[in-house]
Amino acid sequence: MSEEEKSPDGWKDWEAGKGKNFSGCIDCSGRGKCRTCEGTGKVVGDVCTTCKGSGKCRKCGGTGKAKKENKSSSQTVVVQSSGDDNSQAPPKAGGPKGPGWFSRKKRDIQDGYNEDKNNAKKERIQTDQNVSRFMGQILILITLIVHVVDGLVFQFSIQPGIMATRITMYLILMVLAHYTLKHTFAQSAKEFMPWAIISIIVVPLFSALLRLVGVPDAIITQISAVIVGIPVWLFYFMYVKGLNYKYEGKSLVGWFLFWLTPVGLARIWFFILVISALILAFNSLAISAENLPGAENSGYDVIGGAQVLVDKINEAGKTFIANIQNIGTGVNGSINKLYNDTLGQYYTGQVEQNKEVTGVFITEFESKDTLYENQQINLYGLISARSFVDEIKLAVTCKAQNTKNSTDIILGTTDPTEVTVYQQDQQGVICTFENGLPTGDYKINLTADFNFETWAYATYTFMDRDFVNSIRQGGENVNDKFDIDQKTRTIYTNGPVMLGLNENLLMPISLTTDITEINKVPVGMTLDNKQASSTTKGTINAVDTFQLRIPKLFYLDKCTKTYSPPQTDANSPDYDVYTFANINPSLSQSYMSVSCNLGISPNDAAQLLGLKGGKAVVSIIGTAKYNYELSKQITIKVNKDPTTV
Amino acid sequence: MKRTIFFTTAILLIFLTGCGQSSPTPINVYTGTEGLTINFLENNPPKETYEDSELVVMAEVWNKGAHDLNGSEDNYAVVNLNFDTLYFTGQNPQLYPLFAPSQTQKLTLQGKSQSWPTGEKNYMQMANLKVNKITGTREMPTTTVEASVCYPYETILSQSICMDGDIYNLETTPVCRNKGAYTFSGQGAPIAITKLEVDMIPAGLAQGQTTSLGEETSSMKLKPSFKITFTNVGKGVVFTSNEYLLTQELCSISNRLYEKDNINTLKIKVYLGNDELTCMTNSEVKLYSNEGSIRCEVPQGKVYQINRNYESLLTIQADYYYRTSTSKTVQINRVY
Repeated sequence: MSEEEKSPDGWKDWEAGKGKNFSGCIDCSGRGKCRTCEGTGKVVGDVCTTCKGSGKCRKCGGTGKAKKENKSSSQTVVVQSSGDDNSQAPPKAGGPKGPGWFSRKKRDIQDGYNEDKNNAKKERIQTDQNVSRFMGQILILITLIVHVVDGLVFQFSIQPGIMATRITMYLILMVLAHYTLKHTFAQSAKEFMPWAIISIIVVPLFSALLRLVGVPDAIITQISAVIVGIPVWLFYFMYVKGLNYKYEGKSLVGWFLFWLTPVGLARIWFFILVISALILAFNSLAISAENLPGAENSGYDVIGGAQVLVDKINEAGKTFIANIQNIGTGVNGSINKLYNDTLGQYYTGQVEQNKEVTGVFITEFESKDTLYENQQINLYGLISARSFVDEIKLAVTCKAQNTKNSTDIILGTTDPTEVTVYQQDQQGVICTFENGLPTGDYKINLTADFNFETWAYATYTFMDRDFVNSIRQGGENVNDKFDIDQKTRTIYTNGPVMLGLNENLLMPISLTTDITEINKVPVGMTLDNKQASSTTKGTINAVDTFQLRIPKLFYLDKCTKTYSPPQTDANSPDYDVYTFANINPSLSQSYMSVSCNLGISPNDAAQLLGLKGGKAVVSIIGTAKYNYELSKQITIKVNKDPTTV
Repeated sequence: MKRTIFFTTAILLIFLTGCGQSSPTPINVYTGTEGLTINFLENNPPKETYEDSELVVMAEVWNKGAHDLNGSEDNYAVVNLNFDTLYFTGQNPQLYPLFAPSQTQKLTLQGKSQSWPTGEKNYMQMANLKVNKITGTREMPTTTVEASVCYPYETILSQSICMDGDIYNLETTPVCRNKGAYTFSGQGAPIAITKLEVDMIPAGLAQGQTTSLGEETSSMKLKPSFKITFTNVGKGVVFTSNEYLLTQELCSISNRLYEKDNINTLKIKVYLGNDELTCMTNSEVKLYSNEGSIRCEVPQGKVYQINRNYESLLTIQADYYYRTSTSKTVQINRVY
């Protein structure tokens, strides 16, 4: 049968005299293929509902031949024609119409109508596909922008103020994703929708969850970066059929242009991020953090990084299990902690950029000889320090731990046992195991306990409330007019811990001088351990002093920790020192915060502002003095003495 | 010979005309968009200094506008220095009254004039600051020193406008025509009158008058109305004064000394010829996004009877206080 004979347009063919011999299935034009999916069995990645996935014409079962069916079925009319059947011949002009001619004519018109209807449906499906694809592309593009903003602007920060912004941003993205996936043509995308929605909002909250299980901030930031950069839902969404597309042309220019489309860009993005994440994940764990006590520039150490990663996961798992075990108190504390992480009471800052690296470091620790069992072992360490604390006293110890038997610990002796370093100094230390060690592999830890202090400085700019309101009501920007930073900024000194103050309060901070009102400004401080490097670990053994220094015109109120009566600062007589009590003795797996109201009476506010021409710049200072344990670990191999049999 | 005489005469003429006394071209001082400016002198304060040392803060205060601050009554500028007391301490309050609030340092500066076309400039040693020893273990903190100047000022515009009663354009050779709107850039002050819209509103015809030739003429009654737009073209803040406050008090910007409605507000006076116009509301202009307008009309019951068009002088005067500032970041280095 020729193609012409297979033409679905039976009426036209008839009129042209071509359809008289057409005996195929009109529904599929004699091809035997489902007309909706063109024989593929799928429509936009889903099963074709017309042929139920078979790809065959549902009327002729894929044979392409006509079969007699109930004439009342408007969709399945089959035309059997033969040349000598007068009753089926077209009427002669002006002549009498043959028997059944009108019913055939009616059927044929109905066929033409159904054909048009199917074509319209097909076009509508195609349009839906195009719209879905377009919406999907737009969502991918918006998502990429959101992730770039999150990374570059917010740096995946878990600071409470920024967290709120990040959550808002992802909520908007969530709504967009919901809308897009809901209206997409692909059924599979619809089914995936709840997971996509959940995973989007989990992204910014994930950092808080990690903190819950005790993962250090720096690790959280890195993991957040990976999760945000390579979200599984976006990856899935990109490959939902009908929403993605491939370049199938042969033009080189077209191929290049494809990579500039959202899907192309997204794929490049994934490629770069996967590679970067892998490098970062290992390297950042391995490489020493700059300006950290105990840090050293050890370069790339992938194995070390992997080891630390395993350790961290192990520790995090233990902490998480411990929390579950202490379900009575632990969960309650964890919920509070999560609440604090998410909504506030975690204050941060930026570390001061120094001319030279500042802190206490174990810069070297190594064995210079081949080691044999039961022979004296000497390991050489070098401790260096640069700080602005007058003197730092270090108690130095060392120990060996068998790698196969962790309970097998042997203490070594150090020379000297106590080291005092001044502002910029370095001191050599020898760790000795006089009787040597049995054959085997050992982890040797050189540990230094020392006193240290970290200071944080936040600058607040105050202005009269009514004055500020009047300026704003006049449609002007106060910050521009008075050259004021948008937000408070905290700088803390280099050291093993982070001491944060209010980092993101909007400025200027308004004060009222109306004596019927009161002034309360939030102020808070957080002490948290920093990330250690792969071979150097640090913990805060004990916090000795936790203080806030504020100008005398101000006072503290309603603090979350008790404090002793304020005393005048000996070095800055204009400042009062508030020393907090009930401070955590150790911060091995946690952080410590205090939140207060910073008060100033309306009279004092009037004095403060009046003296300074309506704008007062004031520094708030936080101080933490603590004992820190810095430990550097190396692995040695003790060989069998070759002289013994 | 003739050529020699010609050149000699020409040279003599050149010399002789050169000896004539030419009158200096008057300059218009009511131009520009600045009033007082304040800037630190270079290295005073320096970009970097050391703890436990001293530094001198010097500023150049320059009246680049057209209004004189002559010290009479309350007509002077107040200079203020703002710094974080954690890092600096003001020295010698006797010498530098900025640190003694009870004393007032009155700064007077002449504005631009024919005899002083650039305006008066003053180099003042604002303070001698002691750099405090760095509190804590910070290595090199940075902090900002800000100098501000707050002063009463005045914007004046005199503009010839046409009293145009010929609303049907009947006069063939009128003296002038109402232009409708004028735009300006600045009048030698940080607040500029940027637009003037003139409406000659007819208020009926006056009774006919008989000329010497026995012809009867009619004249138009007019009620001129003016919409004046003011713009803050400087970088500072504008506010108006309470009658009972001194400049020193007002410039302290404390709630108890000013009323919030005074911020971004100007007080104006408008004269048409010798007649003071009435401006809505209370002759105060409120600026929003640095711009504000006011409509002024002749007082109730007053009309101008115009036989023939003529030019009259419209004088607009705005009074206000203005505050502008400059700042510099200083890094303090630790002495090891």
